[in-house]
Amino acid sequence: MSEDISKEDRDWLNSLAGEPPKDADPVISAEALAVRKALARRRDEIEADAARASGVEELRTRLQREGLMGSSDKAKHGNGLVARIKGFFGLGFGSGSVNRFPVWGFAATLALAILLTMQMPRQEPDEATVVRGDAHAVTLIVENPEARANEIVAGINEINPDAVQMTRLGNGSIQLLIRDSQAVQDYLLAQRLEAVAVEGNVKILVVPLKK
Amino acid sequence: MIQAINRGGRQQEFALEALYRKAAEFRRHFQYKGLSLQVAEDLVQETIVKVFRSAASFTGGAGFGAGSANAWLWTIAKNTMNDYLRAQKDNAVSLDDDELSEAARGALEAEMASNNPHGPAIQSAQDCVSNGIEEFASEHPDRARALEMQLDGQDIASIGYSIGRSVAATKEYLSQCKKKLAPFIHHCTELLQA
Repeated sequence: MSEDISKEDRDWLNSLAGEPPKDADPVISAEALAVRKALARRRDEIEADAARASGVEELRTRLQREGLMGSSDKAKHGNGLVARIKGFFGLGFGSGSVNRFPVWGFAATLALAILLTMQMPRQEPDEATVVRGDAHAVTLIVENPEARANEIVAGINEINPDAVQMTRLGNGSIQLLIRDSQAVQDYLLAQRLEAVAVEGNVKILVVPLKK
Repeated sequence: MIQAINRGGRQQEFALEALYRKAAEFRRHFQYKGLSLQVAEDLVQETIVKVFRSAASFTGGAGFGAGSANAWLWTIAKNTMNDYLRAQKDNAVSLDDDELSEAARGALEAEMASNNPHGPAIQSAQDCVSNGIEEFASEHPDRARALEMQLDGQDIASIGYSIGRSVAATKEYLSQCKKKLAPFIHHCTELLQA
């Protein structure tokens, strides 16, 4: 803690971090330590309660009943970009009018596939990329974590420089902590990464493929 | 999280799971305010439904501050509880009722205490501080989160990164957090000195 806040505040904050200075006022330290204990206990109890609580299914049913949330089936198939593309080509799961013309959709898909095959650079066919999303982090299992992480960092930097923090973890894994924004979410979605921001940050773990 | 609700599909599923976990804070707060676990859970569900209803109108940011998603969620949760308490007021006696006799007031306080695992009966300095922290975290959820980061021993640069502030501004912010917390726990000082 630096010199530009008062000594009392500095001592209090250091005590809160569990490192009470020896020359600190005992009352200041005692207060900070009591706050430390209270905050830690509160957080532990909230986490335990969150793990115990079991009302999410009931809530999902209510949200679906009130039309505030798509059905689980719809969610399972996805109603984002992929579903829109499927819908456009008549391969969707919904009841949109384009679905009445699956033949046109199939023909368009075939034509597009041929066009893309001719124009796109050759991809490495043997790189196993597994995308797994959860509420807190997206885990990418790839052959070369360094290269994939750098690719994402470069993409994010183009949108918002300094929005991403890269941390190298053990076993060759890399953690990317990205400050959330609409542009970041759009970029990640384009990369097939569906991430939910927690406290303003999206976390991506890039881990090496086990051979 | 709010943006994910608006996107629908799998993102919405993730958002619901994350929001329900987050709502453990609200459930705790409702119980702290003397409501039963069942009522607290009902209010949690009502809060989340309201969040889904109004997610499209949320214009704040994901960071820290008055317009943050965290502050917005807490506002909805507290308004939901206040609506419930107002609705109950016509059917129940209140501690604020001037006509309430001392005996009836004591009985009501005892009943509220029996529903409240976190207070309001204060036995020690630590209980006093814990109760202060509960109130502080509901009034200033972002500041409570910043103090948790300090508690975890994160360096100033990391905290600054998370809350979108420079190193100097983060130090000032943490110092302000201490000052904002003070009114919630200043009455505990005597107990701490004892």
